[in-house]
This record gives sequence, C-alpha cells and structure tokens, in this order.
Amino acid sequence: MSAPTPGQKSWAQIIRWKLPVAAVVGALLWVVSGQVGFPEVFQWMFAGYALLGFVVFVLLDAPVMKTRSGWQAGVGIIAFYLICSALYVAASSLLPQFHSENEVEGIARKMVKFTRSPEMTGTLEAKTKELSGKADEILAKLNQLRSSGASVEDIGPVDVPKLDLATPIKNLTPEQLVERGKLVFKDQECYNCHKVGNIGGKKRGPKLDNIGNLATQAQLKDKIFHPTHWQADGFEDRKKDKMPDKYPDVMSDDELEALTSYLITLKNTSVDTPKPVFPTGYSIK
Amino acid sequence: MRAGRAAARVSAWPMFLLLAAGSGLLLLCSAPAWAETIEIVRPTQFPYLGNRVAVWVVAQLHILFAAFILGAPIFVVISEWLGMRHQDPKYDRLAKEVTKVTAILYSMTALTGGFFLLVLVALYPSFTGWLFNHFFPIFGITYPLLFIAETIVLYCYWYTWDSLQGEKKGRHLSIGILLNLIGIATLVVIDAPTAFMNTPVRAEEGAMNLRTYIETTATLWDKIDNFSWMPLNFHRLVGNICFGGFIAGLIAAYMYMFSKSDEERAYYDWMGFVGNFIGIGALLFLPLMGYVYGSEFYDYDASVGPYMMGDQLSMYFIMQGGMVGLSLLLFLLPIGVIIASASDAMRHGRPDEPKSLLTLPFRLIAALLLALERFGLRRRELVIKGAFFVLLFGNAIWMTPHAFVGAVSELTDQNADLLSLPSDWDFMALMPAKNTAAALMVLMILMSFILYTRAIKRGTVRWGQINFSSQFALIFLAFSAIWTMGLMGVVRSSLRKYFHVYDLVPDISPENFTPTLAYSGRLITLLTVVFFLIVSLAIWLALGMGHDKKAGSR
Repeated sequence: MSAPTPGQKSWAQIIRWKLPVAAVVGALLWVVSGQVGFPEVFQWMFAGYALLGFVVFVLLDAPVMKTRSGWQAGVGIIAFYLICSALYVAASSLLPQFHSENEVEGIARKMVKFTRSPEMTGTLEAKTKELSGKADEILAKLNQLRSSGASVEDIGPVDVPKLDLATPIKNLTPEQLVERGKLVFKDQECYNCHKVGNIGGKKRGPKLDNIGNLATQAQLKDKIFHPTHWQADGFEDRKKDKMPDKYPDVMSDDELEALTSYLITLKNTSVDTPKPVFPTGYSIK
Repeated sequence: MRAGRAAARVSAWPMFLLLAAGSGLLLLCSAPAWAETIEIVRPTQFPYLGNRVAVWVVAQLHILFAAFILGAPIFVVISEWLGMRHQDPKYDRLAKEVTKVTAILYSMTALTGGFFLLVLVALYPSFTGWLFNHFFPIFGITYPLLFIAETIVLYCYWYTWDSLQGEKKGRHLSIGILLNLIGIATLVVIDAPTAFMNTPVRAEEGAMNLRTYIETTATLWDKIDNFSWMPLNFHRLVGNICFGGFIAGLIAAYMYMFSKSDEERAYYDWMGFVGNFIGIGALLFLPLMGYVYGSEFYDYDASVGPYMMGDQLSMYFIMQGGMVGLSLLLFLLPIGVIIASASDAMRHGRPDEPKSLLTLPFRLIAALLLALERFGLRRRELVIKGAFFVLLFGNAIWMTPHAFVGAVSELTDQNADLLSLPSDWDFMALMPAKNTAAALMVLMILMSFILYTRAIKRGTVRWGQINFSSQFALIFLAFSAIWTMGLMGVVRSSLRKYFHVYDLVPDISPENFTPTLAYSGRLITLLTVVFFLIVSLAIWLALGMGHDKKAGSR
C-alpha cells in the first residue's frame, strides 16, 4: 500500500468517517431487511454491499501510489495476479453450490432412453466389453488371492462398477410408480416452469397442485408429448415460453407413464390450478 | 546492434507462424478422412485430467487466443485510421505494437487449434466424426481457406507497414480492413457448428422428430442458420473487440511499468486509457448482446432458459454480475481521478462539443450538477461519488439472486423460506429489475465518458503522471475480461446439458453433468493465469519490455 505524500490524507483520516458510516449503513440494511421479511442470508448479503461500498470509497480517496519499475514492478504484478486469482477462486467457492451427484443420478436415469436406441448399440457393446474385461480382471485377482489362502476381510472391498438400470415399470407397485414419476418430474426439470407445493416456477407454466382433479392421465400424456393439442386456461396465446415439444425425443413411454401417474395424484383443491381448455372436437389420437 | 537483434527476432516468426498454421490446417483437412474410420475407434482416456477437462483446457485457451487475434485487428485498424485522420503518430505506434503482439499470438491460435482438433478426435471420436460429416463444407473447405487467407493478409498488413506510409497509408488501411473482414467471416463460419450444438434446427412443429429431420431433411444452410447462430456472432464480435481493448490495456500497463523514461511512460499511460476505453465501450453493449443471445435460448426451448438463469447455472450469472460490476468500478476509479484533477478547468470552461440532441440528457445532468455546486456542493464529490454510488446500487440489484441455493431443484418445503426472496420482493430477481440496474450502470459510465472526453480536450490530463495504481486497474480489467469469457464459455457449453448436440447427440461419458461453480472457478482461474503467462511472454518478445525504444518506432 502507498504512503501519503504531503498534502494528502493519511489512511487513518480516510477511514475515520467512512468506517462508522459504513457500519451504520450496514446495520440499517440488516435491521430493515430483517423487518420486511428477508431471510438471514439476504441480510448478510445487504450488509456485505455496505462493506463493498466502504472499500470502494476508501480506494477512491486512497493516497497516490508511488511509481515502481523493474523488478519491483514484476513482483507487484505477480502479487497482484495471486490476489486476483485468490479473489475469484474464493468468490466462486463461497457462492452456493449445487450437488452434482443429484444431477448425475438423474442423467443416468434419462440416459436409459438413449442407450436403448439403435444408434447407441455400438457404444454400449464397447462399454459392455470394457466392463466385462474389468470383471474378468477382478475375478482373476480374487481367485489368485483365494488360492493364496486369504480371507474375505483380507481382500477388502472390491471396486465393482455400479450399473444403474431402471426397473421396468410393469414390475413396480402403484406407490413405486408415483415415486418414479416424482423422479421424472425432477429429472425433466418440470419444476422450472410448473410449481407444485412451495417449489417451482409460477409464471411460465400453470401450477399443477390440483391437476389430478382437472385432467385424466390420458389427457396429460397427450399434453406432454403434443403440447399444442390443448392448453391451460390463461396460457392459450403464448408466443414465447411455450411448452417444449421435445419430450417424445427425450422421454421414454415408461417415463411418461410414471410422470402422469404422479401428476394425477395431485389433488390439492385449495390451489387454483388453471383449468384445461380443450379445442372443439378434441379427442386423443 | 539491438535493432539488428530485434529485426532477426521478427524475421524468425513468419516461418514459425507458417509451420504452426500449416499444422493446424493439415489436421483440419485430414479430419474427414479419419471420420470414416471413426466408428471402430474407441475413445482414448486422457490421463489424470479426464476427457472433459482436457477438451475444456485446450478449447478455452484456443478461444482466448482466437478472440484476441480477431478482436485486436479491429482495434488496430480503428487506431491506425485515427492516426491518419488526426496526423497523430501515437495512434500509429499503438496500432503497430498491438499488431506485433497479435502476430505472435496468431501462431498460438493455430497451435491450440490443431491441439483442440487432436484431442477432440482422440477423446470423442464418434461425435467429432458425426459433426465433421454434417459440416464438412465448413470444416473441410471454408474454414481452412479463410484461415490461409487471413494468414496471408496478416503478413501483408504487417510487412507493408513501413513501406505504405504517407500518401500510401490509405492502401495499408485497406489491407487492415480486408484482414478484419476475413477475420469476421472466419468467426461467423466457425460459429455455425458451435451454435448448432446448442440449438440444432427443428422441423416445423410436429412434422418430424429432431433426429429424423437432421439426418434426412435439413440442408447445410438449415443447420448453419440455427436459432443462436446470429446472436452468437454479434455477441462474440462485440466481446472480441472488448477483449482486444483490455489486452491492449494490459500491454500498455506492462510497458508502462517497465519503461525507463518519462516520455515512454506518458505514451503507455495514454495507450492504456485508449485500450481501456475501447474495452469498456464494447463492454457496455455486451449486456444487450447477452440478453438477445439468452432470449434466443428461451425461444428455442423454454426449459433451457430456467436451467440457465434459475437452476444449475444461476450462480454463474451472480458471479458474472459481480465481475462486471467490479470491472466497471475499477474502470471508473482512474477515470474518476482524471476527472477530479481536471475539475477546475471543467468548472470554468465552456462546453465546446457539438450541441446534438443526443447529448441533451448529459447537458441537463451537467446543468444540475452546476446548480448544486452553487449551493456549496463540490462538483467533484458529486460526479465521482454519485457515479460510484449508482454503480454500487446497480450492481447490488444485479447480484441479488432469487434464492441462495445452487439449483432450484435443491429447494425443499423446509428450506425454501430460509433461502428465497420474500414473495413481495421477488421482483428484485426478475429481468426488468436487472435490466434497469444494468441501464443505470451504463448511464453512469456514459456520463463519465463525456466528462472524461471534455477533460482530455482541455489538455488537463498529464499522461505518465496519473496514479500508478491505475496500471493495476488495467491488469485487473484484463484479468476479469479473460475470467468472464471463461465463465460464460462454461455456461454456453453447459446449456447443452448431457448432450453434445442438444436433444440430439447424448454425451454418454461419465463427465456429462454440470460442473459446479467452485470447480469451474478454479479451472478458469488456472487457465486465465496460463493465458496471462503466454501473453506476457509474447509482449516481452514482441516489444522487449524495459528496452529503450528507437526513435524510429515512435
């Protein structure tokens, strides 16, 4: 940091008034935001803005920095890069992170649709051979250990690749089918446009809490795979934010069955779910 | 002696550049032949890093170099034109020095491009083959030809600099304009498959499914003219100018710090501010370009938009908001110092800029400030601190998320109230509020532009004697620009979700999930530092930091 030259304010003089002002502003933001109902995490954020303002206004009045050159400038540049790197790594790490493992599980479930397509057969064969090779390798090692007289405890856990294959829906109980449907709702990110309970978007698409009382399972299946066949009341003339028509490409029939099995269980009459508007002569093709 | 060494150093580069560009082209041209045998080739596993990170590293470095070599010539030609128009040799020197660095980084673009292709073919053979077959006229013909043309024109531009001076300057400028036209064409052409991966063209609603349409019916033009192609072109073009400006500012900061005379320091101080101005000038258009680009995703598939702005990638945008805000604050800091030092002259002078209706809002603001000053409020305090306050306020709105959670899917009935904005205040997280905040920030910067220009016109700025800390502001702006490019690159790629081509070609590798912001942040920082090291080396090689300049170069 630079030292003040004659005629310039010292660091103490610069901070003297700004610090209490920033503290008061920060405290006010904290209290007021808390009073109007912001959760604590937002209160901290607003107080943080006051701190940022303090830093900016201190920098604005900071004494003129002495010009450096040669190796001093080089050291200054390296130090500055380290500071910038630390700042950005810290900022990106301190912001809330999602849990990738949740997404990985969902992707594995969604992949079932694609891995069953003929295009993927070649890749699947290669993967199967690879896994088969690994299994042979593990078995060979196990046999080798057994022949040397080792017990199961000596061998320890064996890292066998886990295959996440979806159970066919015909083998599921109705309750399990609804649970599978909840997963499909999550995997296909329906919540981004459709609110159920306390969670989800409420502007792009209708709330679905009472959809089970308003549409049949067949009508819901038709809507998901053919979004233009019928609309919800108030969502008829959407030019933007239309429901995507991609779902036949990215969802299997089993997933559709599970999802609609879940949706027809949503029968919360206290929520004003928009009614379906069926065109004249509508029938499910 | 020194001049002789410099000449030898420069003359060695063309061979190196040609070799590098040739290697890249050879790889590009031979790729379709590999593609035919790709079906039987199993993907290679990249050691330690994994396939995704390997492609990420190489692609990111390639795009950073490419952005510079496409953005810098725009900046250079404008500077050369200004030099010709005002008969000011400073502009010509600036243009020449930036071109010198560009020529070196051009070879890095070609090398990383070739490397990028190699890792793609080795690590994702099936997909790469598929994409190359669909876009063969681009990958196999147009792109290599444009690359060759750009290389030839770049050399012509560089080697005719001294011979096409004086009355012939217009011809040299024409070569520069041609170079830019080819550069923009290269960008537009290669953007087509990039944009296609995000928004592959679909058939008319219900006519046929995406796969059938792409494989049987869609023409090459249909695939090129996809939803996000044109917005991506504009976004990248403006982004590259911005990037070129900030890197020019970085070159100036380095050279200033290692200058040995006041004259040199004055020149590089001026150069830094010119680069900074071009960078921020272009940056002001980027929110609009980004908004248009982003809205195309909403139009293409309504489920992509929420994933970007509200779900897994939402925190990326909070980070972006913070970085843009910090960049604007850091930009304004040295500008504020200049305006302050020139405030006396501004106070007593008369406005001499053209009285256009466009400047009316700023004249009204100036009149308001003058009126307040008469009530005892110092103009400097008002202008600078007011602008900073508005920037802080705008940035606070921009950075306020709808919920403090990594992804909406992780909100539950139990934690939603603890982490989300109260329902009466959720307008703070919606686009109208964000757009208003961005507009306020842009207005503040525009106002600073006008005040700064007036200060320059009155000759009250003493180049070389401005606060030394402003050099670090220039470095920070370049660092932030590179980091933001990396961050938004992750967003664009992640928008494909678990597909190589959205909804069409699934990514079946184990790395097909969205990276967290923390993970991306670490990798982007590492790549930014690597890019900085290479650029620093290029500046040192091209301009010889710390060496006295010969009079002829001025």
